[in-house]
Amino acid sequence: MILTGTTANAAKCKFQDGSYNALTKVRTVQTKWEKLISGLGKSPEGPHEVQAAAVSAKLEGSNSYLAIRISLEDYSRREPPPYQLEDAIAIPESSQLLILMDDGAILRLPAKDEHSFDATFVPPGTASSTRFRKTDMNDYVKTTEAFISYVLDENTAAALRAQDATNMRVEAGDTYYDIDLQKKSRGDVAAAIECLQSAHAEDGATK
Amino acid sequence: MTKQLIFTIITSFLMAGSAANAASCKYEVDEIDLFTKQHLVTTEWYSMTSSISTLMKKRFELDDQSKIHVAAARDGDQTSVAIKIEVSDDTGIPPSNEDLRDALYVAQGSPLTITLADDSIIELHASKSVRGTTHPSSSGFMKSNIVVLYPLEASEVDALLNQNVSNVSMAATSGRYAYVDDKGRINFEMNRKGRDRFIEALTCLNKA
Repeated sequence: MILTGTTANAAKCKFQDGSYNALTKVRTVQTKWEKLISGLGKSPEGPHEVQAAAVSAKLEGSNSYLAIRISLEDYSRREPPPYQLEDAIAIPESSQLLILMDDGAILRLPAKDEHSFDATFVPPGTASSTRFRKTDMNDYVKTTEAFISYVLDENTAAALRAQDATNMRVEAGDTYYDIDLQKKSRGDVAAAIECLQSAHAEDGATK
Repeated sequence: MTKQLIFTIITSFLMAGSAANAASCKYEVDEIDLFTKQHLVTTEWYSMTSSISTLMKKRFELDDQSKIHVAAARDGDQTSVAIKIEVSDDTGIPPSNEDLRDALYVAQGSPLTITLADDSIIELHASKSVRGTTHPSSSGFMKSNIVVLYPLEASEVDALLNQNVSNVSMAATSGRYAYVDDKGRINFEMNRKGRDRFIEALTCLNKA
């Protein structure tokens, strides 16, 4: 549970629609997704490059999580066979999110549970394919989107709020995906955690 | 033209070629990993297949259009060779999703057997399991490709730097396709062009 350190910036916070599970009596609050990078429509520069990523902080009852959304796009002249779409991104339970901070420190957040995400594709020349990539309309566009929650403890939350994050690495079994945060987004992780803490504090005040 | 002149021209050409090769190392990756702080280097791919023979095979509609490439890689202190192969087959039967999925697979620990010029053998083992990528091509052939990383010990690096390679044999499974022989191997006999490619790749790796 993270209660400390809320500030006046809470006024800028935006949240997704919260929910309350009457059965488990667990309330869920999640900040809006903030883009960390956005390069959809560009070919990946390497096997570990993601074209788009976003961050959000989530509170489920008394448990806090940092959620990461990554998007991969791939282009091919041939239709991807179904086997290439299955489990395109797989996150084993022991995987971690590595966050490189401005001072060079590396924070490690464990995945909440295992995740697996299939890819989808759109054929050449369709609105969805050309929306992303206008340079070549003859390609099939394969897209994989993954939403992964990482456990956020009090010490890690404090460390993430103390300075900007510059890079992230999403471990995925025997591979990984790197996110080079755009400059204007380097404070977004701290801001998301701050918003979550303010929501939690308000929640406590109204009870 | 005198014999002396011919000798001089040929020698100059060969020396210029060697110098150019030495200076022309190219790298797919040459960077410090932000998270592990290790120096990551991967050379460009070196083809061990003669493009002329591949074209001839295609022209005469021979089934064997196999290609093999090698690159050398280093992650911190660990040196490896990466082997990229492309193989093809034609069963005349439309493939199912399972056919495509199982067409080419190398399990973790599967051996890569390299025969050197003096007939000595080096056996390497795949660092992880890899599933190949398979597509039916427009000509009706099935084409599969795969990239497998094989870690090297220091003695194996030395051996590969000191001799040409005459044969490379990769253990794999290939579902219903005839990519592998009855021993579960895909064999590549090195032609004249391909024999020194391991040396070139590892030499360039050492220069990074």
